[in-house]
Amino acid sequence: MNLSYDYVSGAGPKEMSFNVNSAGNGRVFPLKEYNRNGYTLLEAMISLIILLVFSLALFERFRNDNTLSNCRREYVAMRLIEREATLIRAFPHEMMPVRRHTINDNEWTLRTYKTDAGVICYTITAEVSGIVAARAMFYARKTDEKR
Amino acid sequence: MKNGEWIGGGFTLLELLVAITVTGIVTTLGFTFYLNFTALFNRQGKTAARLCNAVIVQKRIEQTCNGFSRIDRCTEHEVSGVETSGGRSRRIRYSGTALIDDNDTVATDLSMFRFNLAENRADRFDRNAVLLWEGTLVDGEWVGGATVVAAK
Repeated sequence: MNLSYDYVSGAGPKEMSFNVNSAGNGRVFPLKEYNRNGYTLLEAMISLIILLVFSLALFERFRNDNTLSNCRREYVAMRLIEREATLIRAFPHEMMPVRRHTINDNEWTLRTYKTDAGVICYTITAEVSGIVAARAMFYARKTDEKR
Repeated sequence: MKNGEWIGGGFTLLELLVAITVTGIVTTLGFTFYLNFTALFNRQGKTAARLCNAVIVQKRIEQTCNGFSRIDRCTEHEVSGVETSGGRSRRIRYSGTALIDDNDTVATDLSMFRFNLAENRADRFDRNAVLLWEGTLVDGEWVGGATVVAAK
């Protein structure tokens, strides 16, 4: 067994060598296979901090995700617009430019605009808290209007 | 240095302490994120389920109300008339928390439901009417719609 390998200078035989540990219990370590190429603490810390920053950004992205709330709001808006459109189709002369509905303590405003440029066109918007949640447009025949 | 003495790389106490502290902070933050994400996804899942349920209820009530060819009587919680297919008389009523079509339950878990019949009274030749309905499910979701029917 060759015990002459120097760790610091690296001097010594290049072939496989062994070192007896200081406890003297007879265990041996392969010197050449020992690899000191790892990450420094600084590198590890920087990578952890970068990971943390990205995690925070991701978390904020998900936390502020209100797709479902928007979807819910748009669904109610479309139902209200459908109701209004049915009423207008049935009774065009009783069209109300503004109609208000209170749903779950939220006040919805339905605004209906009518344009007549050859073809009668109705545009209905549903607003809640100043946000236009949905907008729909449909055409009516002149014969329906003249009934 | 004696020949053969083990001088392999280890960590100093300071390095270990710093590493443990950083690991602790990252683990704590990671666990907090995990808990928050779980709560967020649970909340979104429940909202999605409520919305999905509302869409189903909406469709069922719509189908039921579309089956009328003529409305004979309409109160806030009850509507009766003649059905489109077959011409037999039919009644839909809101009782308790359920909407019942003759003897079939159309929807349950409704905390509020009401009908309204909008008629064109201005034109005596136009006998159309619009059956308006709206309700709130116990979980707070709103459903509502309108159907054109012939008034009595």
